[in-house]
Amino acid sequence: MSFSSIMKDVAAILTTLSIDYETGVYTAQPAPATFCVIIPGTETPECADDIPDNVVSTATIELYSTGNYLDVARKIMTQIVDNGLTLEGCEFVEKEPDTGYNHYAIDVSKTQTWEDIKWQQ
Amino acid sequence: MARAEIEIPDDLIRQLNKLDRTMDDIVTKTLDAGAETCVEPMRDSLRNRVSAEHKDGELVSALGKTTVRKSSRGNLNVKVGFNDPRRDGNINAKIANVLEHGGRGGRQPARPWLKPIRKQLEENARRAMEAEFSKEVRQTQ
Repeated sequence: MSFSSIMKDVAAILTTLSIDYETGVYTAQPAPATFCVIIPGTETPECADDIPDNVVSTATIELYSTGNYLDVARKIMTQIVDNGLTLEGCEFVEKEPDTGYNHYAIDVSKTQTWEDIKWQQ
Repeated sequence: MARAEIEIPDDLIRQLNKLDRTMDDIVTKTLDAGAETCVEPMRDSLRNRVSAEHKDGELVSALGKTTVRKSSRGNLNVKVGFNDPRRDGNINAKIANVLEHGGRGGRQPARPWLKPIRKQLEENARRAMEAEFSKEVRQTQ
């Protein structure tokens, strides 16, 4: 298996589902009714003899939607699992009073071997 | 028919009885020890992530642990969280949540303060709880 970062995988999933997304913050104005912000998380190597065996990387998909977000959330979750990523958990953050968006967070993780991750000359 | 009778030593029975009577007390202390290990690292992490303009210290100082209480179902429980509401009427838990996940229609960037330390918190709490539990059980003997 060759290297593909979790951010790239998540972006590919959102593209497949035709959901607008940006990384870190959403800058496009006006924002569409449903969009996502991908937040990179931690990279945790699991070591044996000081050599990483597996590396677990995490990311959070922050889903914003003005309407019912449940169907979109389920589609994203299904794609995550179908694409071999791990669904770590979901959380409703809040209904933002100032923007009217429902904010829903989906935590994702991906485990890759060190052989996949390390820089190949 | 052959018959075998096994008697549990009186000492063991006495100890088990005592353990049974004091279990609530032991679990209370165990939970409290676990929660205690979480508070400081969470405050530190929060302190590092709060943006400069909001650094009035209210969010950080509102973080603490509850005493161990019994739920209506009889489960003992302890919570680490925020003392609410704030002086300005806002909710600390909400602010911390927005800090963790970002907000304002995606325009406020997320500054995760809890997720990066969650594993470490779990590990610390488990160790502290194991140590406290063993200590308490040993004391009942």
